[in-house]
Amino acid sequence: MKDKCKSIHPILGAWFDGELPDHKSRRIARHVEACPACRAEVDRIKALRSLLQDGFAAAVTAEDEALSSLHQRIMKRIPERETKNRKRTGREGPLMSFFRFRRITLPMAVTAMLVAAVFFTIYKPAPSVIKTGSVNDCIVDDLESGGRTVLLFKTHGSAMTVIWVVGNPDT
Amino acid sequence: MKRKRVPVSEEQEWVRRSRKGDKEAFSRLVEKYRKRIYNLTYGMLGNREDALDMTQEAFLKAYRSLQGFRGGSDFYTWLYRIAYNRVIDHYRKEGRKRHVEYDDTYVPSDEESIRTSPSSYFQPGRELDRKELGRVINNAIQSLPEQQRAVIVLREVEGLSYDEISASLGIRRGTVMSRLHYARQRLQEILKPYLKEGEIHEG
Ligand SMILES: [Zn+2]
Repeated sequence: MKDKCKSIHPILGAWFDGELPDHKSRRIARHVEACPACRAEVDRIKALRSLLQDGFAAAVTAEDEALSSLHQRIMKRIPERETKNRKRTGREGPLMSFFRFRRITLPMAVTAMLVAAVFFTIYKPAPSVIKTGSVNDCIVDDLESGGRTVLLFKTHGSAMTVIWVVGNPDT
Repeated sequence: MKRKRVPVSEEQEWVRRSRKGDKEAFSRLVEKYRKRIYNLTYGMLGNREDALDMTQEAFLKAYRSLQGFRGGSDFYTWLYRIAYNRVIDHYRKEGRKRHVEYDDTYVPSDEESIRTSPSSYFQPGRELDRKELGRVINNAIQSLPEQQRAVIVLREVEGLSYDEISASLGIRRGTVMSRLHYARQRLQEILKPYLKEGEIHEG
């Protein structure tokens, strides 16, 4: 094997995959075109790929049915959540849905509170956000814990995110 | 193999709704990706039962972890990562008993050799027994070091780019490249009887 071939050999696969930068790729293409040994190596990489694809497909060929019953088992093991507020009918839907109970770990809630406190001192809440289309479109996220709800809004026309902390009326 | 892509916005909608606890939306994601996740776990484990188990666990874990998925990466690379890590855990738990060491002694059985003489794979008109072919390829992949199996499946079977593999497995791009190189070298060696002999002219 020539020195040039030796240096190219480890990256010939990456070249074949089209994963090398253009200048490098062009250099290798020129060499491969002129070098039968490297061309043979590329052919082997190509042949290996089609053998692997065919062989793998053959190995997993009978699994469609197994996968569809697996799918059912997965869905059975996923717990049902509160769904009564999910239907979006009229104006009530989106509003109800963002007060829907959300489970969240305490540390995350505390972090959210701290972030909220910081943003609160920097940005003024923009009430106009409520007017722009569906309320839900503006909400980036809502987190609830310990009787408080943190709502993350995205204001229209700017990338600014405003965080509102809302006390839960139930507590 | 070409991957079918769901328009991003639709998939993002499924993810968003799944995060809110919408089972039906999550079911769409399972349907879309179950085969791909199975291919990865099967490629890493080499047997049907374990691969089905790991696929199930990966999806259940994904559902529980959806709150942690912020859409910064593609959903499927995030999902691949969960499945990959799950299998790595499985390797550890199983310990050395199912660990296949670098095995230089692999030789196709006599039966295999007779039924599939060298280069027969490319002979037109001669069908290699599909079941047999599947078994040969599975054995070959399982004879790779564990680290290399996922890379070879994601690249050669699933057709992922190096960047996608890097994101899916949480390894650097350079690592993807070198693992792939060694895996290909090794597979060419093992599968030599099934590959057309390249003509090598040494200068
Ligand atoms: Zn060369």
